Amino acid sequence: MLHEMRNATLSDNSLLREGLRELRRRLPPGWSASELTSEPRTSIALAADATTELSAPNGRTGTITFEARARLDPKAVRPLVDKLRLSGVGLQGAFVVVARYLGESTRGRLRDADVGYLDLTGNARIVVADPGLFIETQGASEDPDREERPARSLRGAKAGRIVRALIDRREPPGVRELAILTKMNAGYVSRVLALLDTEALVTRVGHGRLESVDWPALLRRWTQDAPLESRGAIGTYLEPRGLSALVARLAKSDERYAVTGALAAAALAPTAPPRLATIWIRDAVAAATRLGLRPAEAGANVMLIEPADEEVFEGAAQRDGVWYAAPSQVATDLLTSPGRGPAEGEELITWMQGNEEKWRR
Amino acid sequence: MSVVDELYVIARRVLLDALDALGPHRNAIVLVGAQAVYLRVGEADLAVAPFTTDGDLAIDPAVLAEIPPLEKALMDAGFLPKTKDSVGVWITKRPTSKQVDADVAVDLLVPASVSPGTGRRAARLPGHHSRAARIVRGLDGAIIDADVMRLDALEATDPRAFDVRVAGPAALLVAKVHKISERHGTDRQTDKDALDVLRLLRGTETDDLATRYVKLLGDKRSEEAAKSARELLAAQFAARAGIGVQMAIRSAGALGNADEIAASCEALASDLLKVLA
Repeated sequence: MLHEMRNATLSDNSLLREGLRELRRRLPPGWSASELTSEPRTSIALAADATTELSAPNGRTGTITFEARARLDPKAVRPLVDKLRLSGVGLQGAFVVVARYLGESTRGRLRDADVGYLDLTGNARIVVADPGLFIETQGASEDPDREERPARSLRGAKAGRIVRALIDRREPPGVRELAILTKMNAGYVSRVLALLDTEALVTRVGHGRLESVDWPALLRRWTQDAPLESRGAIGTYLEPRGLSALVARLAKSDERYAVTGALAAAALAPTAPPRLATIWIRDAVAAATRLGLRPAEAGANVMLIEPADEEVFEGAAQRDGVWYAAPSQVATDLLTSPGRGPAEGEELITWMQGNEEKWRR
Repeated sequence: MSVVDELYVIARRVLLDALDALGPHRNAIVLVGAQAVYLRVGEADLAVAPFTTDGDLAIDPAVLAEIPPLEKALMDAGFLPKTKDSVGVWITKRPTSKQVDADVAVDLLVPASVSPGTGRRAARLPGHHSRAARIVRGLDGAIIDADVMRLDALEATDPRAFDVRVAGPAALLVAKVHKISERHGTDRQTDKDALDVLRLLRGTETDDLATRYVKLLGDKRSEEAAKSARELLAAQFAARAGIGVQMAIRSAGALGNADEIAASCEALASDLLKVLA
């Protein structure tokens, strides 16, 4: 019967079909709704797509007119209602907008205008005067289809968590596992994975299962989108007694911190003596005072960074009493650090490639 | 130092030879100079050769016995005066792995305020050759700020170790700024001395340094040197344009960050001067 419907695209047709299925699922026992039929237009102004005949247990019947909408923004509700009024269709409240998802504000406006609605996540409000029927159900409060739009970049703390989790794990985690690991919602995780997929930074098989992660490429891409200065508030300081004195003091400190940059890289891969200590730390100003550092611009040998996200501490490990950030964190921090940082970052990545068993979990 | 340079090993060996030879006089001796700086504070993150091969020994005439004569003890152990005119510079030749003999010197120095000789150079210690030891200005603190430390060899095959008095950081600081001032503008100026000052400032907590410095200010023998050293430290290190700062920057060379060295000198010298004011 669907093929008879006029002016309805294929996707509208499937939407209407699913709408009917949703309606039938919600009808009280003894009620039924007929297959959809399309009707001659009652007005050129309105594209009412299909109707179904409703039968109550007492034998009374009525009509529900469906209109399929791919989407319906709140501001599009008013024109729709105006068209309805003009056409005289569905004035008894037996007119129902069907969409994949209707936002809360859209639903509110439809309710205020006494227009029925039904979306495929389970939001529905259908009022028929005769035979008397009232259905109101709650579905999703967020558009589930948003997941299918790739994220636009890896900037931001949320993306950073996902990237770190992907780089640091030998076995690529699934979407659900990633969501739990990073405390992110699965929708957002999917969107980030969609971006990584488009950029060929991960390979997926079957129904989107992650097969592998090109971690060096992912790390470099992340660094591009989220350079060091975008991930925290940087303050520069002088430790006039030199970095060894600072390291000795950190070993005795009970602050929450993680040494990154050249100092951390030097603890893993042989490099030239570090000249700059870069440390992730909460409340840098207070910490600087406790560590005996002096604010400095020219000649600074210490960078304290207050992280925008606690993720920087994830995977930190203690060596000789000092907390060092995880290698993946250190590498990305170095790639956008001043001075010799980028070269040291590349050296560290080379070391990481040769020693995956030492740092991937 | 992870890999000990052969010359350091030889220099330490020669220093131990000299201390061995001067055995009966060891209680009158205080180790000073770069080797003392290294013993006290290490490299202090300044990746530049921390000491030269010379060993500098200060002598306290008030404690020094007349027998045996210093020159005899040293010559018996294979040391010779550097030249026939030299004063207090004793040389010995040691083979190196490169089949070139290295000249290693041990200098015997007497602080000016306690020297029996009052001339320009010769300390004229009674009972000893007049040119066995030479007068040095600014070194006076070494006989007041000093602690006994164990000095051993830098090679596992040499079991020797001596308990010897080593000048403290305040005495060494005072001596270094005097040396910088005295040699400034001459061909004997060495930038490395300024880096030693920064090492001392870095490696010693300001409170400890100040306590020791106050002791020097309170002792007649070192009071004058310590007072003038305070002015010298302010001029040389407490401002970026100071000659000490500039020397330290040159000495650290390409390995150092000039701004960091300057800022560190300024900060630490000012801290100390503030406590001493």
